[in-house]
Parts: sequence; C-alpha cells; structure tokens
Amino acid sequence: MDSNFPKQASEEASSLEFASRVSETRPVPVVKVLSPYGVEYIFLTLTLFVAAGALMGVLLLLVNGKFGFDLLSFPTAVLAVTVPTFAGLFLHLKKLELRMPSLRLDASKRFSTQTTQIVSFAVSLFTLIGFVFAIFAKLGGQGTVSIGKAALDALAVLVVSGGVLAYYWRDEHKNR
Amino acid sequence: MKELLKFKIAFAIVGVLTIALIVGVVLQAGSAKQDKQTTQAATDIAVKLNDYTSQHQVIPSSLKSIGVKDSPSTITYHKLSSTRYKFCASYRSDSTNVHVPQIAPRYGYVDDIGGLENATSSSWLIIPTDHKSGESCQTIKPLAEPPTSATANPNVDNYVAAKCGRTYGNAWSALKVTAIQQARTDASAKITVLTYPTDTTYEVDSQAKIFDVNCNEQKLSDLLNGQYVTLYFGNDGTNIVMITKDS
Repeated sequence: MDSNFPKQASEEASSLEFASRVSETRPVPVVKVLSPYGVEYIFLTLTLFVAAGALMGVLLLLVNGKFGFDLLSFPTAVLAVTVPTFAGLFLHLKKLELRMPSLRLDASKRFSTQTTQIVSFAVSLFTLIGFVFAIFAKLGGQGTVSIGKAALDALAVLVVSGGVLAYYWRDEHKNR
Repeated sequence: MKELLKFKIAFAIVGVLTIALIVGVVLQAGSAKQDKQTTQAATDIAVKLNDYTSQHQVIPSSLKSIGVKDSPSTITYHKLSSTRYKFCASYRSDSTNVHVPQIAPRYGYVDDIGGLENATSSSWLIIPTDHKSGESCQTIKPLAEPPTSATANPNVDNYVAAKCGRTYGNAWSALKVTAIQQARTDASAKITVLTYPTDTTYEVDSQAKIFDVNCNEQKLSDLLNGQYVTLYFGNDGTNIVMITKDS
C-alpha cells in the first residue's frame, strides 16, 4: 500500500470539506450568455414562430372559407410586421454566415435552429396524429368534420411546419 | 451574393402575398364598419320597438313615430298589419361566427342560410350579433290576434250576428268602449276599447255596420263611452266590419 495514502486521503478529505463548506456558503455563479450573434438568432426564431403561427392561421381560415374581417385582421397584422422583420433578420444573418462560416457552428445559433426543428417536428407530428384520428372518428361515425376538410386543415399546417423543419434540417446537416 | 438570391425571391413572393392579404383586409374594413353600425342601430331600434309595442299594444306605423330619426339605409321597417311588422337589416359581409345559432323560438332569429328572408314570427325583436352577408329579415308578431269567436261569448256573438244576417271572421265580445273617433277625410273612424294592460284602438271599416241587440242599424255616434259591445273583425283580423251593442 502507498505510504502516502493516509496523508493524501487526509488532504482530499480536507479539500472536499472545504469545497463543501464553500458551496454551502458561497454558491458558484454560473452565467450562461449567448454568443454575440446569439441574440439575433433568438430574435429570428421568435419572429419565425410568430409568423409561422399567423401563416397557419390564415391558411386554416382560407381553406375553411372564412374570409371575414374579424377573423383575418389579427393574423394579417401579425404577418404585416413579422414577414419583413423575419426577412431582414434572416438575410442579415445569412450574409454574416457567408462572411464568417464559423458562425454556422455557433452554439447559440445551433440552439435556436435545433429548437426550431424540435418545435416544428412536434407540430407536424401532432398534426398528422390529429388527421389520422379525424379519419378514424369519421369511419366510426363520430366525426363532424369531413375527411377532405381535415386533410386540407392538416395540409395547411404541414406546409408551414414541414417547410420550416425541412429547411432547418437540411441547413443543420449541411454543417456536418 | 448569389446564395441570397433564392431567399430574396422567396421573401418577395411571401411579401407580395402578405400585401395582397393586407389590401383585402383593409378593403373589408369598410364593410365591417358599416355592418357594426347596422348591428348597433338595429339593436337600439329593437329595444325601442319592443318597448313601444309592449307599452302601447300598437304596431308603430314607422320608425320615426317611435323616435328613430336617423336609422341607417341598411335597416328597413314595414308595418304588415295591426299585429305584425317586418324588420330587415342588410349586411355587407359575414360576421365572425357564420353559423348563426337559432335563438329560442319565442325570440326573433336570423336564419343561418344567409341573406334569405326568415318568415318565422316571434314576439320580440332580437338582433343577433352574428350574421351572414345579405339581407336578414324578421317578421315579428308582438301583439295577439283579437280573440276568435270560439273564445268570445258564443251566445251573444252568434245570436246577434245571425239575427242581423251578417257573416264575420272573428269576434270579441263584452268590450267596454272608452273612446270613439269619427271618420275624417284623412283618417278612418276608430274605436277604443278597454283591454289589458292598455286600451286598444281599432280602425272601423268605412262599410262597417253597427247594430243594437235588436239588430236595428245604428251610427257610430250612437255608441257611448262605457257601452259594452262586440267587435267583428274582417278576414285580415284588423279592421272592424261590424259592431253590435251587447245587452
């Protein structure tokens, strides 16, 4: 056995005890900050979610034949603001990525794009589940919505969420 | 920057579609505003009409007679008879809920077919907040038809009517006269009788006959306030075609 064992063990114990005491009295601050361009990617993601939601809303209203002012005014207002905002942010960040290819692997950027992929995948998944359930309900004589209408509704959502997922999936895998 | 070109084209397409949507919404705003004004005016008028018919037991001849001076051109009112009227409101666009639910049958409602006349009569004029584009009409019957001969006193009516050799549609007996208005050049004669909750005034047909209990022909001026009479209504249920004095 190592002759230094008792001394070493004692030092380790002392060190652990000190660390334990320190952690009890002085918590170590962990500050997570975004990268310099991370905030812009968060802005982009947030704008994308809001714009995609409004676009889905408009498409769902139009495929269901609802063209009323009361229904269309809010999603239109959302699109009027978010589409140019998203376009500006997207083109700005794309230019930066072309100038600085390392930005494509930026942790904050990847957090944003991966979050977008997860959310759009979840939306697509649950939309498909809802559509299949609507078919089953109709076959069982319980559904109030026709299969054709349910298919159009699902398509309106999938065009947007699937489009977003496909773009970011491709973009993410180009980075490899 | 060729890499950005495809994104710029995509955004241009989405931008054009968004602008088209904005233009569409802005164009619809005028219709929505007018429809909102129509709904608000119709609701105000409905309150006045319901109050008026309830208090006076008379169908007003026009909206002006109940104090509505500035009703929009999208609202029309027609007195159909002494017990019914027709109220129409025209809308330029569908409201939020295009599947207008039917309100309880005793109230007025707009059919959910859209833009078609609703012939259902109800006692109260109710303006739904939801509507379809086009004209929506309600026929309201706030006042009851005069009682038929079946509900009136048959011993009096049938005896006197038969004795006088007259036929009639409906009759209402044992009515106490409260006022008589002789015919004028611009208005037919009117007879007012005591009814609940307020007195009711009927127009007397220019050809109407008036008899006492012995079937002797009388004049309108022979009827006195406080006299009990039987009123006989024409087929339309409004005009008085015969009056007989009760014993």
